[in-house]
Amino acid sequence: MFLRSSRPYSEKRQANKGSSKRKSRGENMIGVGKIKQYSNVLDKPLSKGKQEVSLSAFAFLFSELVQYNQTQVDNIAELERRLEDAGYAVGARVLELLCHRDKGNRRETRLLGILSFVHSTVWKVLFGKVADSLEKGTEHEDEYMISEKELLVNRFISIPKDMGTFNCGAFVAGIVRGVLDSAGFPAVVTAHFVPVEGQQRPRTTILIKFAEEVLTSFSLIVTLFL
Amino acid sequence: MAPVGPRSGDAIFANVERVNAELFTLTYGATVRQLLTDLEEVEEVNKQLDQMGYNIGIRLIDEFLAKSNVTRCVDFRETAEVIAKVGFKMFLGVTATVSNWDADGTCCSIILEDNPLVDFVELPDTCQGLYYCNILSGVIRGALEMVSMKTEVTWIRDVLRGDDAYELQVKLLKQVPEEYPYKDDE
Amino acid sequence: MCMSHQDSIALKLSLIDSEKKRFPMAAIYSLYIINKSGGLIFYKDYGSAGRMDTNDSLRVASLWHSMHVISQQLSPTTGCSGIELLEADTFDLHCFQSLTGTKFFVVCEPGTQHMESLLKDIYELYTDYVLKNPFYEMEMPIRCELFDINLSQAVQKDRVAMLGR
Repeated sequence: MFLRSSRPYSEKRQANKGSSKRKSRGENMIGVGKIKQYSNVLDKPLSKGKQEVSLSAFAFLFSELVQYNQTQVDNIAELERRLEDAGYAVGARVLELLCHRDKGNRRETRLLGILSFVHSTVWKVLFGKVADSLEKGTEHEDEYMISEKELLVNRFISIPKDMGTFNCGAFVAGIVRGVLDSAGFPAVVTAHFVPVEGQQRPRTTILIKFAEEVLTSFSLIVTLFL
Repeated sequence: MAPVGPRSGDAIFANVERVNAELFTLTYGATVRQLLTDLEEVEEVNKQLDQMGYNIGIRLIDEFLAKSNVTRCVDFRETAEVIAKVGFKMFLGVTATVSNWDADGTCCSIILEDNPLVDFVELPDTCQGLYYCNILSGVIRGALEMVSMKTEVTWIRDVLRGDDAYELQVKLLKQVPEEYPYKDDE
Repeated sequence: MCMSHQDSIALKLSLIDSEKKRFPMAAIYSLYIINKSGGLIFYKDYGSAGRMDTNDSLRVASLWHSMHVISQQLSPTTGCSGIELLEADTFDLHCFQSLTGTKFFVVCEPGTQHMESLLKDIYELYTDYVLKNPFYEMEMPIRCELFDINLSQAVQKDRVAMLGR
């Protein structure tokens, strides 16, 4: 079921390194995410984040982002990786924004703290609701899962049969990875459809597999009950 | 069936499902960043953003029509007003104004004071030629093409480039009359 | 707008057998969506009455597309938007054409009510689950699971409303 996590971890680490290199290059080119308190463009204080756009506007943009990325890849794994990269950029900035706005620049330093921050605060800000669940993996110590009956980004998307288990939630997995990584908790994050008994549609599970160094420094993890 | 009148942009926006503008803004930022990495040349990025906007426009127009109950506009003036007052409001939650009409009513400006695409954005020196919001011009062009209007949409003012507002010039090139699919010359 | 109840043409086409007595619930026989060039991009039949094979449904779609255009040309006044309702002795056909040229039409039991609003709902479902789907290619046949699911719900709701009469 968890196809991607079965890949050797070192290989994934390499892939991640590659993408963060790209990211930093992008950052030099364009300053999205910089909070411009002193610029003449935005003399107004940083918004409280109460402004809204229609879900449709987002859905059309996201759909086009997926379509564009489809033209840039040869296979589905590559498409997943690119959507994840795009999400990563969003995640890194969300953390920056929320720490600045809600936490007075303090950052979460505990593993459980950052997980619950993603599951509740980040989710609420980006998707308007707390995620349906956050669980600890039963088979592996280093795995956590955030599940959602229906991811906002997947609301209007039907995956063609020939794309197998592909999930546009890769974008959301990227957001989660971006938040975790920027907060100092490197992890491999992937999105998976999981069938639910009695439901026509599968739910999406965001699987978080922390890097070894994260776990060793937090070896005293107690059971989560959220 | 009694005709249902067009709905105001505010009424529609109040009734549709909405998301935090930051998700939208940051996703757009990630898109632009990807294009800069993939295409490298700022000019190419401008083109691609316009193309992506066009692709969105040709789809989004149906949602606009379905939700707004707008019927065929009598002229281009009305079309421009509807885009500014209803279109921008129902999708982005902001209103735009129309001005600077030319004498024959085929060219005008749509002016945006508030633009949710650009929160947190400043253009670094390497991107000075970038029309960061170029997707918007593509959307308008694509949407109008689907209702038989060929237009050219260009940026006149851009706050990110130091201007005091966002101003898009929309020029009607050709109004394709409603045509029948079977023409003699085809 | 142009062909109302009074002046619509009651064509005695026997496209659909009068099996409505056997299927009293099946007020809607079938639904078609045609793209702006007259190509059938979606077809669904409800119940076994008048089920058509692919070739026939394609032919009906393209014929309807032409008739719709002809009706606009027949109009003595300009600005006609084409046939909205066609009444025959065994069925009604309600058609909605968006300003972008996509046509949605249902074939239903004669006298079935509220088809205009059902078509409007279907148009909205199309804008949500077809046009916002990155894997849908414009003007091509619609194969979107979520569109199917939501469409069946909309049609089902309509049937329940019918039973409640």
